[in-house]
Amino acid sequence: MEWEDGLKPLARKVLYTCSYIPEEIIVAAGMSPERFFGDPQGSAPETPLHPRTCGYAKSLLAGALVHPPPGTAGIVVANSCDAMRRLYDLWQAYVGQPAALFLEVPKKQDADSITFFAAELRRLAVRLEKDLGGEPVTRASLQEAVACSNRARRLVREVLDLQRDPGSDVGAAEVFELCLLGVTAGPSELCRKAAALLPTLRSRARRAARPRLLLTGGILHQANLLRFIEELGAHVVVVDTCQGLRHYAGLVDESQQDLMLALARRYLLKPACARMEGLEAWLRHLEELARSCGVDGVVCTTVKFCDPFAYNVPLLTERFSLIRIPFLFIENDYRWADEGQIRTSVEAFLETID
Amino acid sequence: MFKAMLEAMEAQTAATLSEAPNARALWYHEWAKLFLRAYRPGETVVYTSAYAFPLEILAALDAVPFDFELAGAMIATTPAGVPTMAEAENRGYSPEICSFHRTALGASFAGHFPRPDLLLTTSYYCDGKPKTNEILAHIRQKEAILLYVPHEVTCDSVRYVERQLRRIAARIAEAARRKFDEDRLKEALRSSNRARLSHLKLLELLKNRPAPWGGSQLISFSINGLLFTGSKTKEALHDALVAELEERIQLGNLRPEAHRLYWLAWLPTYPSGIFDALREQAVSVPVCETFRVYWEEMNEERPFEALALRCLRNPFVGPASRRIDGLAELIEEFAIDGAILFATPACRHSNNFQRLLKDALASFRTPFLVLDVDIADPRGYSPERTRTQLEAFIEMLKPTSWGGS
Repeated sequence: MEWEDGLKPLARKVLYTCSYIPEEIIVAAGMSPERFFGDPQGSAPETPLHPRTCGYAKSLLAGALVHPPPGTAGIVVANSCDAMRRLYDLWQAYVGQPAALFLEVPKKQDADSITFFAAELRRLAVRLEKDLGGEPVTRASLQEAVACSNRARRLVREVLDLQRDPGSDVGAAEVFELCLLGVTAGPSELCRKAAALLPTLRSRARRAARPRLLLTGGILHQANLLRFIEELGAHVVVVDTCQGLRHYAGLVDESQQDLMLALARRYLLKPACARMEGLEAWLRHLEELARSCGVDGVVCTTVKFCDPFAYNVPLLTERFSLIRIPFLFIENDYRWADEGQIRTSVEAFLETID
Repeated sequence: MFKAMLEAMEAQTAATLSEAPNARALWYHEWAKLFLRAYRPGETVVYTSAYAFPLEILAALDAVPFDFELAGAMIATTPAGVPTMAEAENRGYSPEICSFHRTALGASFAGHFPRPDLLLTTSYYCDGKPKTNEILAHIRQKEAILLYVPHEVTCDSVRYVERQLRRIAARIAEAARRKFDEDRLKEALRSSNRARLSHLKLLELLKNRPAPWGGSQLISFSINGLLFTGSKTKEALHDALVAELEERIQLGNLRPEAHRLYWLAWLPTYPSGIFDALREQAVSVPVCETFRVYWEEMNEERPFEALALRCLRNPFVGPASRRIDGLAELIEEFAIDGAILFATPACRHSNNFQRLLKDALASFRTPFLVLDVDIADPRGYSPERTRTQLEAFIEMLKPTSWGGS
């Protein structure tokens, strides 16, 4: 075991690929969870993945093949979608180390699925110990990890409320940077950073109202889109993406005797990604979110070839058209190579709102 | 339009069958009859995925399975295919999503499909199918049900799938206003077990050189023949095929055969010329991935558990390596000279298996071709390019003057 300052064990890193993977279990195993973004800005070498596959999956494999992440004990890949389950197969065959663990995540939210998912989480805890050299996950270590992640969620919730406040000068880009820090540096670091930042954010002067936007979609690994929306004079009041609101919404019930079941419940019942069953509920959730935040427009961005979103987008477009909220769909390549073109689309969209 | 197609198919095949027994005519006839039942008032119509959902449950409840992908595929065999897909594209469905699903959505928007009572699908093979199921349910304002089948076979996953199947059976019974009778389900499993044995018999006959059957008909039957799972029709179809194949072998009524191929995944629904090109070169496809028997005989006394196990052991669930398991033995048993993977662009799970398959086949020294051809959308298809690809591949199968291949 490596030691830092002779006091605390230096946790080994465990990468993960989806916000449905509970970071709490990794922390409870004495390891450090880090959302893996792969090699988004890299030269995108050929990978064993098919070219018509989402850029995120391709970037993960490219990242592992070209720049294997140092100090990593392993990676947890969730059965999020077709691309991810094949990524796991290809990782096993062509990457090998760091070792990959697979986590089954049902697409359903009923009681049976929650029970089954809890059993899968128990298996994950055992595999972190047996296969990646983690510590045994005990009730006490899990309790502590859950408490820490809940604290982080509460703090982020406060920041998100400030961002949502009309007249707020708390920008979406800086808040999203904080959210990204949470998924890369872990919940403890996020707590430290958010606690330090909150007084400053609360004391910010108010500013004139700007067009209010909801940003929804899949994975967003950087704040560039938010930054240029702000530069164009609009305010993104809520970011409903994998690393945004969906990662931080809802708490794990710490009072539950069975914490794995509590984790399963929180993760399967949090605001859903498009991968989940329940199209009507998903549409209704986004409509309610847009209405409750009083937005003037909605932007949805997903990575090209992300089928779960691609199938949903036409009905989402229709839904916002019915309630007369302007809607813009932006397909990105994960690397954001076509940022200039996207900027032009956003600019044109904001003109329609003005 | 779709109903008229089915009526024409039913009449035409009935005429053929009135002259002499004919397995192919029987298959198309039963197919047309089954889909036409879905338009009949009073029937309980369940949209489903024949190749994935255990249809014994529907058979036990006399519910009519209507497979929207197979129905879409049937439309895509005609010139109406592209305009039907365009119905969906005009509503924002991207050309990057599966053309089967675009056709099914377009046909539903255009009002060609029958009204469903329930829409039922599985989490495998792909992400697009349950999405399409939910969209169709949204259009029809009906309930969509998803059977989630996990990646691994464990005690927990078997129990999880079994519980879902029990609930689904109860829900179909409710929609059908019938009491669920487990004895009828056991009978459906018995029928499936008998059909499994005749299926194995068919596979044995297909090992014959030259092959007595194969190509596009075999691949097509391997998928849409699943519509009859759990019914006497399935047994009758297998029996008719066994009789025909035995007769062909006995009479020597077989096509000349220079090479034998193993076919993976699906096939194009529109006229592609692929199988004509293979036939011209005396290349047969005596076995395909979707015709393999991957499941054991089912325990009829524990029907839900048996069906759950069959779902979980499907080669398209779980690691991609399951699609490679047993391939070396199959290549030897069927005297396979090469393999083709049909790769429709939107099939993410299958296309991302290409590299693993390529490496496995290379280790068996089996030549391999990936056919990048859309399954239902003929726009952009080049028959000449495909023919050239096939000819070059067949050239590789020929023994060289120094004895290698």
